[in-house]
Amino acid sequence: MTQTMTETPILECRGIAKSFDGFAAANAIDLTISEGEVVGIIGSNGAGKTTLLNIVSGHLKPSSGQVLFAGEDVTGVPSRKLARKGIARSFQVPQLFARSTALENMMLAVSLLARPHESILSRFDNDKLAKAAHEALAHYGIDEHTDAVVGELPQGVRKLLDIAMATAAQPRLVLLDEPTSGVSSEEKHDVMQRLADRFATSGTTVVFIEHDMEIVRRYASRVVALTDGTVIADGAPDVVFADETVAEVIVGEDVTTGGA
Amino acid sequence: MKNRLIDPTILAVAAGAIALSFAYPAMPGWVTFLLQIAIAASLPALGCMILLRAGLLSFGQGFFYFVGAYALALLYQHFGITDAFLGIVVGAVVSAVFAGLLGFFIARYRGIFFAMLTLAITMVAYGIAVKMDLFGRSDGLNVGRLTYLGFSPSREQSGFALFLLCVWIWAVFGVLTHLYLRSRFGKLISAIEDNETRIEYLGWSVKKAVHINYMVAAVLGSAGGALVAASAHYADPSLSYWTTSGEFVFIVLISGQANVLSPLFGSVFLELMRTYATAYFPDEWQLILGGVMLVIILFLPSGLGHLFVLGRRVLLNRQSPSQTGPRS
Repeated sequence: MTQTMTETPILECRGIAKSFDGFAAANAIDLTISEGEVVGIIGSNGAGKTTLLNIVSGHLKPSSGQVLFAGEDVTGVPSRKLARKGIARSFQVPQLFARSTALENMMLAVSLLARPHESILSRFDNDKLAKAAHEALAHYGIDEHTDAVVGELPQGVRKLLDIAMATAAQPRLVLLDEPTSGVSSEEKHDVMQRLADRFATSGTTVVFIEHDMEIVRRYASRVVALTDGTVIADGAPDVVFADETVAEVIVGEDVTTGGA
Repeated sequence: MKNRLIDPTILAVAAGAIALSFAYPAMPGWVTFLLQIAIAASLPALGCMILLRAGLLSFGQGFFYFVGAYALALLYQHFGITDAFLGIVVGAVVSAVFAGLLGFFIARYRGIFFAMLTLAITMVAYGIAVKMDLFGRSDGLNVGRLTYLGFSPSREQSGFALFLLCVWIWAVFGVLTHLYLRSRFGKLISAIEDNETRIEYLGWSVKKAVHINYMVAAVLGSAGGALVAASAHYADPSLSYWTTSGEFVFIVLISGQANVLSPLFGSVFLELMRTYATAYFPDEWQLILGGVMLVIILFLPSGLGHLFVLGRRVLLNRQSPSQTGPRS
């Protein structure tokens, strides 16, 4: 009995399908992810990667299929409720409060996400929140940017801030949509290393979409390859990258386009 | 950004209300009446301000102004209820119910759609009111001398009682609105304009937040409506006409959105300008209003409140050498 409990996967997608005006963006995707895994999702443009992430994070409802989070059916549950249940999500384009500073962004995230039991009409406690926000930014190594307005920050820092805000409440599952897109090649590994360190310490399960195969090889413990909304390969990075179809359809394409 | 032991805004509201209460005997009647009307208009304008904090422009605060005024007038005329506080509470409850119901529909819209829908709602109310005997058609309804929780002031006292009612209702709603804006929810609504997606992923429903904010603005509007009906001694359908709502937006544009005191400054400024302009230039006063608006938009886009910021900057610059000491 206890063994069954511990073996409950953190995320289970059963036959997830999603169509947009007849175009099948996701086509019966089955995926089971255990707690603590770091899963890289690869696939060419239009393969269904972001659609899958949108469905798991509650941004989209699937046309059919089921999403289970830690054994609970969360199909179609809106993103705000999933955020409170422990699913965090970052975006290709960081979703920040552009007119505020990095610290103010993080303070709002800490206040709204990490303190659900406090009354919403209680005072926005600047002193306490600034301290907690500063600590959260330090976890991602971006605390030197606290007073900068986010619109003026480098893309790598914006990406990290986006993730820091999403993960303000210690989530169990983190979904990252292209965490290094738009980040300069010098910054990419720095961003990924900070994330890897952060999530390894907390044992958080991470699912990330990535086009840079070198990043996937280095940071993922498991790789899922998608094509035309279907899983074509799933396993350890070496195994998936050795797959002929993956090499031809996904890796080859990315290598020829520069691997970014 | 640090928390202060004594909140300067609450202190300023309380000090302002106390000062006005004691200044009453020294003020001529036209000034106290002007202040009462300005206070009444500042509350729906405050509602406009909290909606603008969320990036929502309302041309429909007049509807709740109308509801608040007519709650008092209908209770007075049809039920013989003369208590001012009961009238204000009933108006606030009815407004909250209306906004609660309308909010399910309106909270889904943003930008021009939100503005036009609020305008449409207020004009529907106007259209109904001018046709119905219950509301006294275009003449409206009279409101006589009010009582205050069982206290019935004499004819001589009633002016002062009414003035105190206006000042202290403004102070109470001002402080409550300030507490609302400085709360976690207040910060949430201020972030709506910036990024709705992020708020949803921080675990909060933007639609629900807009809905609640719309209801709070409605209650502020109705409180102002009750005060204008009590002060002017009547309520008429023009309170719901779209130009009335436009004036509340105008007040916030004049004053800026620095804090809950801002709309009162804007409102007093507007009433003074209207009084003097109609007295000296009866045919051109709207031209003057437009001109002032133009000057403010061009030179003070953050409203008159920005003058305080500029003033403080000038003072600080003057003081800075002595404060920082000689530079080495």
